[in-house]
Amino acid sequence: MSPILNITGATKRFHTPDGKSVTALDDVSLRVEQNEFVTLLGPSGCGKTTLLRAISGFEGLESGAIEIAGSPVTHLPAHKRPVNTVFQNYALFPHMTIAKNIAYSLDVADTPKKEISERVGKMLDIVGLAGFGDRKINQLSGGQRQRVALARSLIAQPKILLLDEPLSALDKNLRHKMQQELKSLQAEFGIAFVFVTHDQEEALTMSDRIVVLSDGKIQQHGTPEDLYRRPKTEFVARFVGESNLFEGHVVEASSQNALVQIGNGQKVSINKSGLREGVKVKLLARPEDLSVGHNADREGLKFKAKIDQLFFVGADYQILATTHDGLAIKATLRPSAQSRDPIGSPRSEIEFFIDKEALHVIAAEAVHE
Amino acid sequence: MNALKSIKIAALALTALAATNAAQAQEKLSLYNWGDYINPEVLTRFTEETGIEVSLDTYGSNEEMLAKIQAGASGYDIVFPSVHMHDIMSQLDLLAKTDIGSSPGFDNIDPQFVRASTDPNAEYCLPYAWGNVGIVYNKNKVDELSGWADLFELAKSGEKIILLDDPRETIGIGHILNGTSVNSTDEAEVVAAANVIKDNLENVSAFSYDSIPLVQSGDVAAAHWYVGANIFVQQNPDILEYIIPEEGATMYQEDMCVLKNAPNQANAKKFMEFYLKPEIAALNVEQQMNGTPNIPAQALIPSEIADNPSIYPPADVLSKLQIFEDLGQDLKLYNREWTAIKTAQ
Amino acid sequence: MISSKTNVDRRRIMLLGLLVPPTLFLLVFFIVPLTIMVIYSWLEPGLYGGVVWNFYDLNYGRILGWADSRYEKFDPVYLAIFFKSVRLALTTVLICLFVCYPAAFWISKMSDTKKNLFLFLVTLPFFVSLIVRLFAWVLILRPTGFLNQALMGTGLISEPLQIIFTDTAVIIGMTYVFIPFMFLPLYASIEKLDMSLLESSSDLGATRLQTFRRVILPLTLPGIIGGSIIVFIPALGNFIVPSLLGGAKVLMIGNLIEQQFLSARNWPFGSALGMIVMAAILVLLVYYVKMMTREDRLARTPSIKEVQ
Repeated sequence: MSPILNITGATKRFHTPDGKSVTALDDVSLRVEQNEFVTLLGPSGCGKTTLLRAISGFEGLESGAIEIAGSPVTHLPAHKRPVNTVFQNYALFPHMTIAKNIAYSLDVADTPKKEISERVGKMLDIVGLAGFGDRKINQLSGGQRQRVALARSLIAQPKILLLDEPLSALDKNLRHKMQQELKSLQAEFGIAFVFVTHDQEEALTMSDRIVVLSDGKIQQHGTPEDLYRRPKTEFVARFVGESNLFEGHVVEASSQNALVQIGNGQKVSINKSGLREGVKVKLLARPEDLSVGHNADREGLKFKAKIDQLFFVGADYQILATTHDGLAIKATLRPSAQSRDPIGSPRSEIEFFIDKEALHVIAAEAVHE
Repeated sequence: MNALKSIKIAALALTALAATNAAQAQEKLSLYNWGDYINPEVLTRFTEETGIEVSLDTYGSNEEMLAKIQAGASGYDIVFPSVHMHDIMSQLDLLAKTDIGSSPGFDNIDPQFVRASTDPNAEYCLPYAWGNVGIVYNKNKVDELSGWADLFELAKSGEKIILLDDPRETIGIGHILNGTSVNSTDEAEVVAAANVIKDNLENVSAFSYDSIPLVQSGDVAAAHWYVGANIFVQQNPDILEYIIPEEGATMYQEDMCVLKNAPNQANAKKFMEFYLKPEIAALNVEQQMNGTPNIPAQALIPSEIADNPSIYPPADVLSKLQIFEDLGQDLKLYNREWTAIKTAQ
Repeated sequence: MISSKTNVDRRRIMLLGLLVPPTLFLLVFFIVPLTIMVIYSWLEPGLYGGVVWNFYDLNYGRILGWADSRYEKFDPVYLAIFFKSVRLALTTVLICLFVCYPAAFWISKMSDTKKNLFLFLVTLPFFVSLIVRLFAWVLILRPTGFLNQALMGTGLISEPLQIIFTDTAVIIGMTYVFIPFMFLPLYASIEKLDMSLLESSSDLGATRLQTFRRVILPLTLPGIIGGSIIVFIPALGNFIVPSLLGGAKVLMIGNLIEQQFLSARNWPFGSALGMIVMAAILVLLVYYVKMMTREDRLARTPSIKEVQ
């Protein structure tokens, strides 16, 4: 089966008023399958919104092609493309009622009135706004507006729903609730969602697949676990989740293993093939991979450090510390069920241990700032 | 009198005044005159001689001036009503007694110009200036024009003409052509006079006071205008000509009057006496190119003005000039017919 | 308790202080002149202007039909002039709208510096006297004027167009005079227009025309109506443009009123004509307010209605 969305070699440059040009999309190729929830993740200016607007038809491409459900749409105007967008500010029509907003795409397509009213009623039920149809937009809360925007985009049964940072204006609790609602809506409608966000946590929570963009290029795409556990570049490692990165180089390499020496002289044997001797690498450890004290049975890295800051966040402690040789360390520690004693206090000494199995190697050629 | 010119003249007067001695500025005189109806040089000379600062405001019609005075416009000392308005203002008790008729210089004034029936001994006002209302035309557009009938013939032939935007002047043309009095209050006569204009309406391109530039440029062949058109004729003698129509015409005369509530009565009287001087009246005529009732002044006027028959017409032409009288209620007949003319097209 | 009470008192005094000057202003400069006009319109005209304090209904009788005497005779011509003025004013409104609407869109999309420059240019004519600007139009429109010379120079016409002293000249002049009045309210509502709504509409399948009719037009309607009213009212009462560019051959209701005060010495009749104009404008405004409230009610009904 062909993908629902197939982008090949999309390139787009913007020209700034002072005559410079900025590459917003640099040879981007992407496939999205039917029923997939794909997130475009990256810092502002990375090209994620441009990519979304290229799909919806608001930005043309300099080169490259876009196909939706097997048909080329590269030169189709926005109003003819079988996709709909939920905008960041929702872009609801302030002069229309909720029902009229939701009915808009059907109205402009001259759908019979009876059918419109049935479908709008059904849609209001789905998004939990039954009975609100005749309210004005300015009488709604942020979450309700979000639901109206969703209902309005979904009623026309698009092949793909595009979402441009739709949750960024909501408070945290509402955001979590809407994240769940979005997932269940996607399951209910069975269509592909392409979701843009700069919030990595949101991306991890919701996506089947995440596409990390930077400087108009796709850095990496994969499942949330892939990106979190096996980032290919330092950029991805830093952008997705919290990270501890240790610079080092390969001192010995065999077919299955590599012995890596890090800056402070410690050596650790990593289970990874294909590394040559002398190559510079970075070792990634997530904060939750750190533990306190030394397990003599296990091989790994250990650091004596002084706690700079310590935050109690309920289940865990989050610790910022500096090793004796000056490395900054982030750790998330969960006290054992038996001991509820505090793990330490600021300025106190602590000894961290990282199991070698938890370390992930980022090869030098992929290491760039 | 158009507003643009009024502004221009006011600006001229102001510059002239700015040049005078500011130390004596506390003495003031405020004139309310028709636009473009006094030589600014006269005002400068007065200020030089007396140290009295003169300010000038302008109006476009007798009725406008009366309406503003009645509505309470205050601060003006001297106004320049036409003779019939002089009568009206006397009846409304708006004028101050000045005894100008007993001033030593008043012998200069030709007694036939003391016309207002309410002021037979010039106890109130001083005859200021007079003139006639005729036709100014472009010689490149028409070789010769001798009267109203010619004017309408010219319009019929396809050339453009402009008449004054004034009910009595314009309906007055109809009266003159019909041989009736311009002061007629006979309804049938007024209607007949108005019909003369109506019959020629489609050949009249506009009713306007601002016709001179258009005549000069040839956009319009001829226009109904005041004797002051001679100012422009003198500047463009090859293009323009002004005539008193052979069928007769109207004439006007304005008197210089002091308002009863004038704040500077004494200065106003000084100005009147100043204006009695033949050289001052002549100075005014030199720029205004109209008639003065001041007999010795006529000897001082440049000969091209004094000998111009359209400004100082011979007795037989003079006898064909009619002056407007106040019509009281019957003015309504003229206004009614005027609206009818404007909407007849 | 005490402090809150004095707070309330203080706020009351402040409110009073804020309300009194505008109330006085309206009273002195609006209510009082209006009352004078209403009263005068029912009084007998004085022989030389002003009024005679006798009740007199013939001022309205002349306009509306029951006057029939030597001096006060009904004439349908006054209503005809009124309707002609309405026609000229409406034409002016429409042309202003057609000129300003695209221009406001164009300017609203410029950079801030350019925007300010263009807004300044739009208001620039206010720095020059209206009379002077209208005389400039006489020079442009007359047969030997710039317009005709340019058109004849390019060979588009062989005979000069007769524009000056016609209805067309009056409409050109009024359009010119009132364009800033139309532009500014239109611009204010177009500048506020959220461009993402246009994208949203197009995203939902609307063509550009549908987007215009269903989103842009209703959202800028307040500006359109505001501008139209601000242009229509003074255009209806204008007398300077018809007398200068219409050569006083084009007679509008404003000229007729001006004439009553400044040459016919008939203040009561002038007042009565003014009252008729004002009544017509009030009817129009009341109708507009009613229409707006009805639309608001319609928007609140639960049914899904097709707005055509």
